[in-house]
This record gives sequence, structure tokens and C-alpha cells, in this order.
Amino acid sequence: MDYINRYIYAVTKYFSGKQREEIEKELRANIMDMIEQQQGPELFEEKVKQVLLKLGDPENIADGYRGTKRYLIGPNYYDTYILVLKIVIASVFVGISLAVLVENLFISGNQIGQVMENYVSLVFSGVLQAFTWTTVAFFIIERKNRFASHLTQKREWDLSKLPAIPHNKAIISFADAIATIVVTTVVYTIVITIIFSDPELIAAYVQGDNGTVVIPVFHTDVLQGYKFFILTVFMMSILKALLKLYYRKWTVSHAVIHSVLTALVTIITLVILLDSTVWNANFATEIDSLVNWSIDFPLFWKRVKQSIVAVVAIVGFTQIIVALYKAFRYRSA
Amino acid sequence: MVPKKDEDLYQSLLHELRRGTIVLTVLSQLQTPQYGYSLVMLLEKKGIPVEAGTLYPLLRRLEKQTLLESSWQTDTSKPRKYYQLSETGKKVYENLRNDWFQMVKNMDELLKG
Repeated sequence: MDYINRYIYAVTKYFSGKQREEIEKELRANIMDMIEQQQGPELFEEKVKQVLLKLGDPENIADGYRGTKRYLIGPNYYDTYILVLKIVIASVFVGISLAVLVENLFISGNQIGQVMENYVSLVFSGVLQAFTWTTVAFFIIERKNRFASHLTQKREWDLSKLPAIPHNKAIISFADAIATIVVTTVVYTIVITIIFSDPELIAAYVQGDNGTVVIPVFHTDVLQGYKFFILTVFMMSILKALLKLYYRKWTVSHAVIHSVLTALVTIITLVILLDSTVWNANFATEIDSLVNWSIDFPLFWKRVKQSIVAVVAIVGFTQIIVALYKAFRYRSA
Repeated sequence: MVPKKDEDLYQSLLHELRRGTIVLTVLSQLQTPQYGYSLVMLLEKKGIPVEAGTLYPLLRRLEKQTLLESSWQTDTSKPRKYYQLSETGKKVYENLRNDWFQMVKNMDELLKG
């Protein structure tokens, strides 16, 4: 009896409520009938095994009752999913490796065992994150398309439904999309690894009279307070890169989503950079006191910070303009 | 996935071919009520065996599609769910049957070359 219950459970666990009750009742009745019809001197238990083996894999029966197969990521996107997964995981791996390498170039006297332990745990959590977010992104695409196909099923197809061939200049090459994913992942992985573990590494290393003096660029506590924002910026940038791979061309909707994400990324980055408490307030004066330059270093440093802000703003703005321009200019009617 | 061996390929093609006829097979035998296992045995006896694991879910699906009607017989010690053609099912079966005969005729022509 145990096998029968387990078998029925294996089929009905995918269903709920009344449907589950009905399937269970009917399947049980059928199984009991089959057992009863088994001729021969075998024990009851033996007959049960024969009947259940004959019925076969309960998953297949459940598929039969459901009428459709279920997947997390269906055959349409599976290959792309695996490809992106490999790329993202490889990029995270490279990024973390580079970050750890850079960290240890600047810090001497670290225990190699400690470094390796730290490295392994960083790689582990990084790869796990990469896997999770890539899967979530593809899961959403899969659901969205299945939902869309339900909506459009009823409508007749005709020639006007054929998508126009995109203008050459609106096409995003496969290499471009992949490169964006790789660069984004590697850069952000390095940045995040350093900011989350050793933000004081981002510093000026000045040779003074009493050896090297390390002057951090940022106020590390304040910078770490922005962890959540930095992660958000990373997620949105990855999403932008994945969208490029998904659309493979500049359509109006793609350009609009891309622009909104770019705007958000730029604004959050600017909010962080324009927060004067993020920067080490004493950075310029400390350097000035150690080095005798003919230039006014505090003023120079102020200009550098302004330039960084300007570059971030201009890059964001340019990306938005280019995307929108390509989408509207080369829009296929 | 593409089966690597010719035999696998052949088996999967044969499977496809048979699968297309299962609904018609089942409908043809439900002019009178049958329960799951009685239908399995009936089809086996008539030389068109359909696996129990395929048939049970199919009966339920056909009922949902309103081609079949069902009723639980609880007067005996063992309750059984009996299925038979609904009015819609009868009409659909009649049409499919005619299509089948036409198809067989045309296919015969094709295959005899």
C-alpha cells in the first residue's frame, strides 16, 4: 500500500484543490482495478510493483493530466540562457580574481591562507549571485512571452504581422551585446568587491619621509552606506546589457527602457558622487602637506572631481541620445 | 534532441504516428460506458494497445474538452469512474471517423504508388 500512496502522491503533488482530489480518487480506483486483474500466485506487494512499473514515470502521467509540459526556462530561450549564464559566471570569476589580485598587490604581509579563504568565499557568493540573477531575468522573459502568446492566440495571423527587417544601423550585433555583458559584469564585480571588502584601497599612496602614506580617496563608512545603491546600479546595468541581447536591435520600446535605466543609473551615480561626505574631505590637504607641488593641489583635485561628475553625466546623456536616435531614425515602418 | 541511432529515430517516428490516432481510438470505444482499466483491456484485446499511463490522463482531458461525460458508480464495493461519449463527442467522433476513412483511402493510393 505504501508504494501506491507514494506513486499517487508523486502524480498529484503538482495539483491542488478539487482537481487533486479527483485525480487521486480516479487514479487509485484504476490502480486497484489493475492489481485485481493481475492473474498469478504472486504476493499483493509484488503485483503492486508490477502495476506501478507498467504505469511508468509519474511525472509523465502528471504531464498528461496537465496537458502541457512545465519549464522554468523553455526551449525557446534555453540555449541563450546557458550561453549568458556561462558568460556572466566567467565574467564574475574574472572580475573577482582581478579585484583580489589588485587588493593584494597593495597590501603586503597578508597570510596566503587567509587570502585564499577570502577569495574562495567571494567567488562562491559571486557565482551564486550571477546564477540567481541570470535565471530570474530569463524566467521573467519566459513568463512574459507565455503570457503574451495567450493574449494573441485568438487573433488571426496575416502578412501585416510580419516584422519589418530592421535597418542595418539599428541592429545590435551579437558581439556587441556579449561584450556589453562581459564588460559590465567584470567592471562592476571589481568595483563591488573592492568597495565591499577594502574600500580604503582606493587611495593615494604617497612616498613620505616615514615610508608610504596611504590617503583614502573616499570616506569609507559613508561609501559603504551606499552599498544598496551601488548594487542597484549594477543590477540595472546588467539588465541593460541583457536587454541588448534580448532585442538585438534598437526598437522604440527597447530604446525607451534603455534610456530610463540609463537615466536611473546616471542619477544614482551622481547622487553618490555629489554627496560631499562620500569623499575624504582631507584628501587634498593631506597630499598638499606631504608633497611640494607648484600647483594648487586642492583646487586641482576639485577640478578632477568636477570632471568625474561631468563625464558620468555626459556618458549617460550620450547613451540615451544614441539609443533614442537609432530607434527613431532607423525605425522600420 | 535528435536520436543518434537509426533505431531510436524509427521508434520515435512510429510513436508519433501512433499518437495521432489515440484520440480517435478512444472515442470509437466509448459508445458504451467504460472505466479506465476496462478500456485498457478492451483496446488491448482489439489489437490497438494504449498504455494505461497515457490513457487515464487522456480520458480526463477529453472530458474537460466536453467530448466525454463521466459518472462515478458507487453502488458496488469499489467505486469506478465511467466515461462515455457526450452529445458533442458523438458529433466530433462521426466527423473524425469520416475524415479517417477518406484519409486511409488517399494514403492507400499514395503508398501503393
